[in-house]
Amino acid sequence: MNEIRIGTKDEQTAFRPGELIEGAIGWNLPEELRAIEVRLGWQTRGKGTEDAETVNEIKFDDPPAQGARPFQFVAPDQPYSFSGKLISVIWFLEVRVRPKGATARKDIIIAPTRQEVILGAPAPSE
Amino acid sequence: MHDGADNMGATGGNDNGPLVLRASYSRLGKAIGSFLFAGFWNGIVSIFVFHLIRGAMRGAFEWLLAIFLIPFVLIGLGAIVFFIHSLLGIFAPRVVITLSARRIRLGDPVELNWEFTGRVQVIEKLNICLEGCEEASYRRGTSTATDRHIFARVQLITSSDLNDIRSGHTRLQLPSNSVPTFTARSNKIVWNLRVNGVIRRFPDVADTFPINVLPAAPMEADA
Repeated sequence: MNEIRIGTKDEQTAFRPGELIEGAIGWNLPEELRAIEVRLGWQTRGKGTEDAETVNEIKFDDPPAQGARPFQFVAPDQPYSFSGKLISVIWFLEVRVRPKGATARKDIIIAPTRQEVILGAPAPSE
Repeated sequence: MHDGADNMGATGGNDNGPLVLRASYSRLGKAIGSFLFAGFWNGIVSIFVFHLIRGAMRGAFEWLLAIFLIPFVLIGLGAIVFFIHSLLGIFAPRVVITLSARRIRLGDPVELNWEFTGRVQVIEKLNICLEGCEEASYRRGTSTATDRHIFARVQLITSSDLNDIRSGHTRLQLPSNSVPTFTARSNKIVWNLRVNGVIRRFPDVADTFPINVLPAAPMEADA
């Protein structure tokens, strides 16, 4: 069996800036591992060349071949998750296994209303 | 990624004090740049034009070369016109934009003041607006291209009254449902204040003031 999973508490996938992102990773891999890393990052999609940044990272050294670990991040202030005509910013949680490089990923939203900002959308009525 | 608290293109002031904005490029710089381009372009093109004229004077006009040179000569003439336009633009009235706060957050109201100096009476109409723009850069062949899309435009002032044009103030409120300034290597969200003063038979006042918009103040947590 070759399995890596990542999940968030209560399956929450949208967060406000400053909010706690809690979750856990689980894995069941056939061989010895050097490390497992959990990352919080963003990437752009759209017309421009892709930009990406890892904002926070937790590393578990010398983990067993199978196991589970909780993790916690604080949602950063910016950038917001947004989608425009040319650019979108997508936040994600990613687990990466060393040395194999196998990954699992979960897209999340970070924005003040916990909804992706749509650029050019009309302002909400007061 | 850019996460600075201070505003770009700003001078003076502290965190709470007023903020005097600076235009994204200087008029003198634009004039010098256009002069250098026009001089370089026309310097090269003039070699071929001189060759063509000398041939014509000897009775051997090179039609193929003449036709080939037409677009290059037109670009050169355009560069000269642009230089003259930029040069005259130096003498257009100048505007100073001041914001009441140095840290500008989405959704927060900010007082915006403007004041013109110079021959302000020549301005027939003033238009000040705030624009939010996506900028995406990508490789195209051997060069880098940048596409832009304006996703938000907030009209702040439109006036043809000289007293209103000379100086005034208005409230600027950035849309709360939008995004802060975002600066990555190839993708950007930029916010600009655009000042346009229409002048008859003279280059308009067309200044752009970039502002660094910060995320909205934290919201209260859900009950």
